[in-house]
Amino acid sequence: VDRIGTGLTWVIASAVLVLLVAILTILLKRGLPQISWHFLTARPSELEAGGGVGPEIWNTLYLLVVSTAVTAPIGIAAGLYLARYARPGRFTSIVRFSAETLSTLPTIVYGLFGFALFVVTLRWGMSRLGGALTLSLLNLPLMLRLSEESLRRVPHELEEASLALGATRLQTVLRVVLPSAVPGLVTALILTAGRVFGESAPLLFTAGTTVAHRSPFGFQPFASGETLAVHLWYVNSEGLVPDAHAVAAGSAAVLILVVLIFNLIANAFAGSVARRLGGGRRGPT
Amino acid sequence: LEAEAAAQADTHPSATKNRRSSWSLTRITDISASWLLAGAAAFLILGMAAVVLFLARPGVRTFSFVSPANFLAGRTWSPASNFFGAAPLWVGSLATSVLATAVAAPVGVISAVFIVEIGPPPIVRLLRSAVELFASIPSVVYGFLGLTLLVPALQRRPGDTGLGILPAGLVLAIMALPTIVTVSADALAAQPRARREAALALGATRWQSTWGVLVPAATPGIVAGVIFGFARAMGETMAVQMVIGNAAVMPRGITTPAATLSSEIVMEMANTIPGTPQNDVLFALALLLLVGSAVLIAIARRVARRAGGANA
Repeated sequence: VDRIGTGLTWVIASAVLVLLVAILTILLKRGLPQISWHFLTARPSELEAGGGVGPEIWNTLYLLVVSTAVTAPIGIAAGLYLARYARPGRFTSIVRFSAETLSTLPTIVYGLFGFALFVVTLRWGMSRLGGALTLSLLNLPLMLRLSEESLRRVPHELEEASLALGATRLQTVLRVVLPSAVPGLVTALILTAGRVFGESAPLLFTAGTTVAHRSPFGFQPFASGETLAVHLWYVNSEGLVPDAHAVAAGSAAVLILVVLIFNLIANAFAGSVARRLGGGRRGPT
Repeated sequence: LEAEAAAQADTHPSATKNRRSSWSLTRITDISASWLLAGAAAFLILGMAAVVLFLARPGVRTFSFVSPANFLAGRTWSPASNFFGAAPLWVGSLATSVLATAVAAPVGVISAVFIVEIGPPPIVRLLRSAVELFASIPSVVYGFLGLTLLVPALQRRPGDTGLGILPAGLVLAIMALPTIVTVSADALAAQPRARREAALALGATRWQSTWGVLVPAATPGIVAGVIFGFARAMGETMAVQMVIGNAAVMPRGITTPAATLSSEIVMEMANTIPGTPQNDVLFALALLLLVGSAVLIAIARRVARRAGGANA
């Protein structure tokens, strides 16, 4: 029985690995042939074959930068507060409760919230800014948790040494605590940024399913901004182009490549954090 | 709890000593900085309150034209003709999530056992990154795969759409798997080494010590992981919407088109005008989804906390 049992876990574990490899192979094998400079830069087409995903990629990057620019400072500041300033009490526990609840909400709920706030109440229509801000809120709890964790890993001795040398609390935080947590914070940043690429449910009714017609590569925050993930859904479900399958396969491959790259970078950074904590020789100065 | 204990430890004496020093410019910046940070933390409360408020307003308006009982138990969902019975939708949500969990839970728990107890380190590392990767594949990509691989495979007879609860449940199983593996592996790894060694010392085989001692001891954590996975499956939207067929009728089988709470929100949002009953009712669906997932998460947390208490 021991042997059979062990064998069974091996079978299941390898099945999980094989499934992943199969999924990646299928996606890349179908999608890579679709990817060309034209595909990556051209405008999408509504009715004829041969459309690209250029504006979608541009919108995705736009949303990525804007939403991260909002999430990162608030998330790190709140993480710093919880890791180094907060005392147990009602305020702290309400903050934690809110963060936990926000992190478990289904993503479509964020979509409806963004729609109700940005599209209906503020009358922005479908907009890049509305989409970006919706994603900011979606990403905030993750950013908070990851940055709090990495700030907590900074040893207390460092902080106390700085305070003992006469530095104020703020000086200590800015010059000692934050710099030592940089690798962890960067990992947090990459992980939250990576999520922006894949999200679609929160964006359908906030950033919309069309690209800006007049200047699809512009910076206008109130133009509609369909992202690559949303486009993949759109061509599959509502699109009319005859080569929908090819466009979808290409978009899926681009998404998967981005996900792989982000995972690799995040792992590399997480690895450097582990080395830093394990080695302990290169103390932050 | 851990985090709070650590926070307690964080308020170290040097902070109180600082407070007594005189009001200099640095002192003032110091205080305003801490208020700024508290403000950032308060932003999360604000966000949470805003989400609830903006969903609740149209959601509650729904109940001025349909009673809560009819909304929950009504079997006819046809908003265009003012039938707002959401039963087909939540039954669809439950059915897909149950199917997904039934597939993912055994695979997930066995994988967790492999990671913690059996696999050699290099393969465990590989499996862990595979699980991470599964978790980071976008939901539309899963939907695309389901639509182009699973659905055609399920079209056995002419006339079959291949769409329905079965493909949705299978796609969701893959999406719930990482949650179940991660949480159960953590629960297993948290078991004290002594417990395993005691079992082995009594002459138990690895199989007996794993399934007779460790898994039962880690059960609360594993159950919590499975509930988290279930909640993840229930909240998932895009992948399901792509393969379920979007027919808002009481499901008669698992291979006929159906719909879920979230898939119906996606389908109807584009066709309805804000402020109309047809649009308001979608917010009521979202509220139902929100309450359902909040209840599940609360149960899972409670179970997990009990596990933590038992080990301590």
